[in-house]
Amino acid sequence: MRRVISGDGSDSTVATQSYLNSTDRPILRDLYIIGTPEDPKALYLTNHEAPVLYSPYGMFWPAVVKRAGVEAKIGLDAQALAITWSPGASAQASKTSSTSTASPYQLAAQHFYDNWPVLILRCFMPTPGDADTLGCAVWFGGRVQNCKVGRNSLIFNTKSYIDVLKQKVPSTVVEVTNTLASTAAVTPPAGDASVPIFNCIRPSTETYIVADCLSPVANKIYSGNEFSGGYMVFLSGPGATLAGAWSAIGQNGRWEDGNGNWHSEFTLYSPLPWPPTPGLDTFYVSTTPPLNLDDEGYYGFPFVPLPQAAV
Amino acid sequence: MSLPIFPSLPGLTFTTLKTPKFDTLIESGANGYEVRLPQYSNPVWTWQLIFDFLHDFFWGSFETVSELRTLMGFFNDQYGSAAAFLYTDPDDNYVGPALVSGEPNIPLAQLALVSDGAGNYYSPVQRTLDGGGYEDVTDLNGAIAVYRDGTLATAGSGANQYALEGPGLAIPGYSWLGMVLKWGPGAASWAGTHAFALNATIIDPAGHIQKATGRAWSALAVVALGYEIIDPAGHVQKITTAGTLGATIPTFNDSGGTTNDGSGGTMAVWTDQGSAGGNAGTSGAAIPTFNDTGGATSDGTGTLVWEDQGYYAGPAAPVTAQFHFYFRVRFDADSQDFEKFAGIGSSAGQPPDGQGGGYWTIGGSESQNGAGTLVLRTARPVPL
Repeated sequence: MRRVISGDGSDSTVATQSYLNSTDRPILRDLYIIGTPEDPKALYLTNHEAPVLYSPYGMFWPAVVKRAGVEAKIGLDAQALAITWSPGASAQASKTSSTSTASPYQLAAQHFYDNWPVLILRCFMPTPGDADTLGCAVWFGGRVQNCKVGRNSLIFNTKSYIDVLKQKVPSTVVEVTNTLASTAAVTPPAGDASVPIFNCIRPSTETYIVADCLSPVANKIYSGNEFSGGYMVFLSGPGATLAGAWSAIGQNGRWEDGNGNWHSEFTLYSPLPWPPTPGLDTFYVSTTPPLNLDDEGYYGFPFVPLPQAAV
Repeated sequence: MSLPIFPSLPGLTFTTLKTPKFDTLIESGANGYEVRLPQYSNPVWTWQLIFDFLHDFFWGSFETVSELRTLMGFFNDQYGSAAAFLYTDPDDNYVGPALVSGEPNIPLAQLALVSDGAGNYYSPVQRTLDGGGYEDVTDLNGAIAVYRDGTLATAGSGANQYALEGPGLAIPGYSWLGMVLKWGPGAASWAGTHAFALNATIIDPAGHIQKATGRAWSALAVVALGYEIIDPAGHVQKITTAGTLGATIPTFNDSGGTTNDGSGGTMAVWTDQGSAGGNAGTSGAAIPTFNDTGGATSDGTGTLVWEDQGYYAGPAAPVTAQFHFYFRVRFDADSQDFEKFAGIGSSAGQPPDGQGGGYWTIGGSESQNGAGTLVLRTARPVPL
């Protein structure tokens, strides 16, 4: 179920669910905000018979307003939704050619509403007019693509916010995978009981890491390219700057610092957001993908293909 | 904006059809289960009126307007079904009496009393048919008399007065499409350098009621010069020798003399300042920071101490009211049949040529060709 926020800002999804389970005649209404909420010209409309106060946004006024059905779609297609509003009092008051007092019809004819944000909230009312106790769920968010002046009505043709994603991307990119690592599953290298943990040293960069093994065997140098195709996942800890960041490992080997000391070195497929801090940033190495749909901390796009496969 | 009022005409006859209507979206399953979504809670009423006769001649004066022309003109003035107007249902236009034998008439004249959670109280103007459900009233016909637990309240913005707002108002958790009474604060606001009577109340900026009390004697208190209390006899006693008070309250001199309090080198001395006159004390020049957690707040340099009484609990319930009301309606159709069924008649002679005559009907017993009745239906207040 969509997340429902009550008038005091708390999550009321569970309470709403039990309300819906307890009645065969729920009271559902739509609240519309056309425009940015802080804009005094923003339109606060509702299809309820009386004014509705939803405390997070304010007062919504009864209006002759209708909308087309909201589709539930998966993918990158933007949803189109038409909202039809027949202005009543706001069109009847004395009007001038000034923007602040112009009729909605005048404004629409001048494309005043184009690109305005649109938010539709679905309101769950335990009693008629009570928008605060259970509150509302976001039903649709988008922008006004164009506003058509009809006979005794304005038709706001809106597109959902996802339209900003409609751009060319490499064909293999099917989802955002640069989220932080979120899996507890790890695979140690053959012969080790636990995944090796390294501490970064100079001269590490975003794509080239020099580090010393801390465990399971201090300063162990692993075979060349043993970790190729595996993952480097940074750990949290005092002073750590890259906790959760991760990258696939292209190559690994050893590096001599000029003083006869050997260290582990890694070349990464994709750069880290910034170079690690020597002595403070630590990481482990594993062949298990650092993202997993089943982990609660995963905030990526949870559909095909599985994120662990995508990376 | 005042709306025109539907004319009251003598030809209105039986039967009158009055119909409440709701709108419910119904989803039903193959198993017979249903989910129903009510679209509104205030009914849309419809009246089907029959006018047995409408005179179209002059009554006593050639300057009056005939019934037919009154109604026909009224219909035209509203552009058919376009404009809203007010209708007095002859059998359903009154709520009350507010009191029966001096007691609040509940539930038939009762108005709800609800709070917005911030110390403000509202009573929606509603009527009930059966004492169960309530319907919002959008338009009053004349004055409203409101009672707080049997006591007549007055209009205004002062303490326990009401102001009429709407139609249409929402507060957290409630909304109404009709008129609403907004109750004033439960007490007056704080005033500077003002003598407050004992037990007088004010409402502080946070919406809490504060009760005026006089500072009382307290055991073993260390008191400075000028410190004042009100003694058990209602006299103001002032410290004229600073010190520490004793463990038990002394017997105060209330004749303008002094009273020793405590003992030894730390003994304090009170001097009688005369009767407090039933006052708790005088407030300071600047509003104090009130204790809103059930505690006390000293005010000024004298004996005035405020005691927090918590949020204003609202006007005394139950609230009852008596008033006449209109239904806000429109004509249901853009066209209306008026049917003439008899010839010229007049109590003042013939009307001037070309200015009407005879008897007309809308769906009455003499009707032969006219279609239907005059239909009115509820009009909501003007939308945004």
